[in-house]
Amino acid sequence: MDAGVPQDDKLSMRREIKNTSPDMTRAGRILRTLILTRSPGLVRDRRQQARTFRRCLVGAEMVDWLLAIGSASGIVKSRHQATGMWQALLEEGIIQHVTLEHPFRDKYIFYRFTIDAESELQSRSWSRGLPSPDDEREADLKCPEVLAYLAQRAPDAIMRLILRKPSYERTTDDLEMIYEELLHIKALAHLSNSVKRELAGVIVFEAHPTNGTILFHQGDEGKSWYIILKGSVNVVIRGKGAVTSLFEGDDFGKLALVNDAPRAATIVCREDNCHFLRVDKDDFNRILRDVEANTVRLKEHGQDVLVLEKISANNANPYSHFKYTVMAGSPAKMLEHLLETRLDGRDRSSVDTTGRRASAAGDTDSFLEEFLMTHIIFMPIHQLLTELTKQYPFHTKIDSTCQDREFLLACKRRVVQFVHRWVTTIGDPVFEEQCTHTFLDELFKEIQEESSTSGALRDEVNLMLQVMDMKRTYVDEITAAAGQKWKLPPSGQPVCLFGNPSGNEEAGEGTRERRCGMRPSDDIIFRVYCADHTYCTLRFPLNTTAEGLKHVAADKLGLKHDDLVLVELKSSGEKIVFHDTDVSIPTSLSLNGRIFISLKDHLDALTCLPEQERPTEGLVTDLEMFSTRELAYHMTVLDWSLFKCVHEYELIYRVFGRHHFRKITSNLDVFLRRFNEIQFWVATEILMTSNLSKRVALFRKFLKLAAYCKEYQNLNAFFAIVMGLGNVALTRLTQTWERLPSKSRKVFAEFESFIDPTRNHRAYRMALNKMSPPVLPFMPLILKDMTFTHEGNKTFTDGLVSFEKMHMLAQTIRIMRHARSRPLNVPPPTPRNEQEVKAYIRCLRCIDNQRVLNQLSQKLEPKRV
Amino acid sequence: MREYKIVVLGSGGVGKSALTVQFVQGIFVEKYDPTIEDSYRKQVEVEGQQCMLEILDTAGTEQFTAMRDLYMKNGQGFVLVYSITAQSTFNDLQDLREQILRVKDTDNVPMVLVGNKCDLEDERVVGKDQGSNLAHTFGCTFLETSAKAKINVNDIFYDLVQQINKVSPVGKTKPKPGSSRKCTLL
Repeated sequence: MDAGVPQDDKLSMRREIKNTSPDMTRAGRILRTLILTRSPGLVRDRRQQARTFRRCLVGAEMVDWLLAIGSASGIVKSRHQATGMWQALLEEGIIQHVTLEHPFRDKYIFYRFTIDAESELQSRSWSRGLPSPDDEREADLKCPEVLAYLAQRAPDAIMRLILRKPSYERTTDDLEMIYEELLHIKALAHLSNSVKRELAGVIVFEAHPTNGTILFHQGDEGKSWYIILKGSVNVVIRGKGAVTSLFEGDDFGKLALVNDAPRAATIVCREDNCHFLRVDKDDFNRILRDVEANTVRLKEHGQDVLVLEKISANNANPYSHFKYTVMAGSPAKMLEHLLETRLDGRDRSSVDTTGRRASAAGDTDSFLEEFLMTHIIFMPIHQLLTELTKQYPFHTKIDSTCQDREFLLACKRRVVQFVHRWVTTIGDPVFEEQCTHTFLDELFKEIQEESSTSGALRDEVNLMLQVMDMKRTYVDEITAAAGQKWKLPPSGQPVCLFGNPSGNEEAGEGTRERRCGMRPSDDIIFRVYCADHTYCTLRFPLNTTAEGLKHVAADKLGLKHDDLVLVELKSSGEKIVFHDTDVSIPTSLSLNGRIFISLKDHLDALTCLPEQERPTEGLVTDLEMFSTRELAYHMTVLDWSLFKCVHEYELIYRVFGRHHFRKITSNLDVFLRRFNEIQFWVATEILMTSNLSKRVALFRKFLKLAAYCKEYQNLNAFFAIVMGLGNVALTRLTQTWERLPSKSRKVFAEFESFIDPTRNHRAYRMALNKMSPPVLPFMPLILKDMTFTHEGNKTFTDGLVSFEKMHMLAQTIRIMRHARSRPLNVPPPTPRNEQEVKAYIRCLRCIDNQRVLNQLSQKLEPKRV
Repeated sequence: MREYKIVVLGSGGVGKSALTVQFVQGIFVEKYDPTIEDSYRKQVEVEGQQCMLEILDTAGTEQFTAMRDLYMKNGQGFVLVYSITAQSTFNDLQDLREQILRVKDTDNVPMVLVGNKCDLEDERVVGKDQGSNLAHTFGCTFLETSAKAKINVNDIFYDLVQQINKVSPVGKTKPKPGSSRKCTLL
């Protein structure tokens, strides 16, 4: 038979593996011995359709048997797996279907050991092959080992079994298994999941046992597309011989199908036992032909540099004229593509009169914005500037006779427009790099000269003037803020000490003041403790590394430098060692955490300061004195001022690791810390109230506070309060709960259903979607989404940046952007104790050690027996 | 179909999220969007029954103990994860377990102890015996896994479903998770 012809189904169960492996032979011998000695009844002569089959077994019974002996040891877990194990034996010809028609099935179908089939031809008696006592001993001994070996071979055998089934016989589970297999195949890596799912239904398995088998000849009509699963083939062209070899994971045969052309080469197996996946022409045309056209891959020097995918009709933005979205690309190529397609190179002064089409592109497509939000992940600022410099035809003077005049002008316009969008979208971090200043100065100078000599680019000069203005403002602020200091009090928020940078306090009250967060160069004052609780006070810029702090602290405390580590000791006793490259350390502490310096080997000896276990030095006040609405209002104003200081990049620094960027995350740290502060404050206040009815009243006050925070759309504080009320030290206070009016319990239950994490926090996400800004979103969930987007998706695939991932990260960042897109402008309630309330909420007392909270709880209401 | 909520806990950096993504998605290379409703849900067949699993994973929010407690309250089965390459992540588990028992207010909680990153044998600092000893004192199942090499990942969740079935068999009125105490209150 010519093996090159696709095999007929009936014959496909012939041995496809030329040489049976010794391991498989032994496994077969041992299973046969076990069956014949332990369950000889399985092997019998059976009749079916007037034919007698000697010494055969029934598939379903073989599975029963294997499951029975294998389940005790935990090796064989399911019928499915046992089927795979028998199939592995069948594939290597150890067992066979009595008429060689079927693969192994868990059904009333007859099989036998091949060795018995051969003896049947010779004699009706068990003339040979009956196990000897030696065989029996060996079989008992080796049984677990053999089962483990077969179990290991089973998954692949099952996969081949499924892949041999015709499409209509494949079950949902089969398709799922094939699909998962397809995900690992290189040749399909660029296809979308839905295409792979479709392929799972039609892709088939084909095996060729012999070296030299020809799959198809040059000049043949193209009938199928192949992927090599195992083995290799030679590509042979007439007159040239073998031009190349293809290996596992490679594919071939596509060209003839796409172009409807004859085969351009002959394909020959270059080893025994080659395995292939095959997609036949009709299926290929139906599923893949369009997809291939949907994906555009741009190559340079033989390598992919940009992958675009057609936007499907249902997802298309009706206002956008973009047909393709960027899926992946090299940083430089993506930037080039961005400039070419998303920024308008035309002279805007003429376009503007005909209707503002120039800005339309930017508004309807998010590629530019997403690129700006995320480029620091794959393209640091200095690299971005290098690429922009390449894109901008510096030193090319454009006169009216110049042939490429329009082209060159367009290039310049695009770069300037890009820079303008960049600076206005991102703000401060752009200017934190010295290289930006140099670049902007040069660009500005160049464009001014260009404009004055050629008369073009007037709009661009104006854009650059705005950019230069922003740069000047930044520099002025930094100069004015020189000597800006923050103090890290033992509790509460870092306090701004000097320099009065437009005051946090008023920022939320409708005044249009610039945000004032912590800058990398700002100093912070904090303590570093030794094991004996002596300490030194340090003052350093926030972007000082742990290593730098460590050396100075060691000097001040008179410690030797070797083997010292800087560590946070939490009130729970947990220790977190800082890496030498970590920055913004003081702001990253937990509520009652302290910085310690210690020998690496003596970490276990560190003990908490007594003050860490007690409530932080918050103000002790009878909360009942304050109006709940006033509390909620000022809490929201404070939270908002903290939230506004957080830069979007801080989320990226934090999720990707701030040490990668050497950037501070202090403003984010402080806002996140506020969540814990509120949460523990609620629990602490209730547990420090020993009078039962006062406790109940306080509980109700916090419920009201949560309700007001929700009304102000301060969902972050709302979650913190409700979670604080749900602290396990509080939920066990049975007497308190029993005294709570049923209405309050109902309200609490309602709040709990709002924070319920079921279906990926569905209740909260739906509510958030309906809110219009300003909103204070539940920050921990934003962090979780960012983390899972990062961990669940690769940043680079095949050397290209996965922009799909950047898009998803940007979506989450955009939640924050949207939430802050309007200023907080709620009317203040009638002031009653305004100053006291404002001072109080800035410094909440809290115990953040769960053990201490539990003890307090026990003391208040001892466990009933 | 019965629904199961399973909580994945452990210190930062032990590879929790990778285990969860590997289980829910089944792969590493493809797009995983964690913001949609079904991102953490997966339907599986265990003991011949179709079950819907929802994974509550605290990855990325380790600093918020309240988030962890909220997940504990909602969960029925618990995966305690440490990294075999970091002793401290192993030491942290005792406290976590105590908190679970406190929140669930019972000693019989379906639980699996997981030593992750077992593909990094060269960097191992927590011995397999240490893991199995701890599991023994916890009275729970022990598995060493690798999300990266896809070792034992699904087994964690199948085992938990079986444990949950044992604690609260199908058909009996299922005690609503975490509400045993609240029943007296609400």
